[in-house]
Amino acid sequence: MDAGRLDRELAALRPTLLRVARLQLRNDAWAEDAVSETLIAALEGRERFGGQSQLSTWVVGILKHKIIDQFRRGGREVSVDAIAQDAGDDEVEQIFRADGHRVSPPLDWGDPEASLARVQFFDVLQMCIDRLPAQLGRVFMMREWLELEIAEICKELGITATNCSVMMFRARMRLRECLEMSGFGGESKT
Amino acid sequence: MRRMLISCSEAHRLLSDRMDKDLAHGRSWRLWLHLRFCDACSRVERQLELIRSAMRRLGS
Repeated sequence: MDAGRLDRELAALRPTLLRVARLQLRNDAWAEDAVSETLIAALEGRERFGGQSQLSTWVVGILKHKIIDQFRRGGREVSVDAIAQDAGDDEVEQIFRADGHRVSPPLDWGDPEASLARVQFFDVLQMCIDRLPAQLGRVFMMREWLELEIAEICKELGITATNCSVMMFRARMRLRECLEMSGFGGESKT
Repeated sequence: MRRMLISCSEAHRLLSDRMDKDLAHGRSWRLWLHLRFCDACSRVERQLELIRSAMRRLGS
């Protein structure tokens, strides 16, 4: 790929990268920094991009590495405190009755592959992650986007294993509800 | 005697736990048994998997 074209394509990826970085870091300035560093690294390392994969996949990989490195160095991913008692318990508990049954059954979301093929699904997913309490969102992103092991996340953040799994549970349940309320289920059957 | 039947709320929690670590044998078996007979929890299982697949592709 010639330099000019790479420049343009990278510039076009910037908004998407920024949006994801913000979801992970929950801080606009840090997200800007991480994305700028990523784009510079991509330009400098252009010869390493073979073109076998999508440019966006390659660049997102660089961004993830940057954020993970920072996290492991104990940089900006500062301690997460008092998260276990974070708001949001009620919302999850409202899904169930006292006897452990669901208040209302989950809807059928239809064909998973079809959902993933829709750009809108990713849009709504990001909106739902953004609505999670910040700490919950960060831990969820570390696990599911950065794909770090749960043990590493808890250790680095100084959270007990139990609190960590409670947080993952709450994040997943809230996201599921949010996606469903945003139209997944029902509509996707068409 | 250990309870063999778990509630949907417990099953949801185990579904989430299982995405992060191996479940102890007894839990894994109780979850399996519950999913075998519970359409609602099986549906949630598929939805959580879908969310995971989507997360892996986020941004790319």
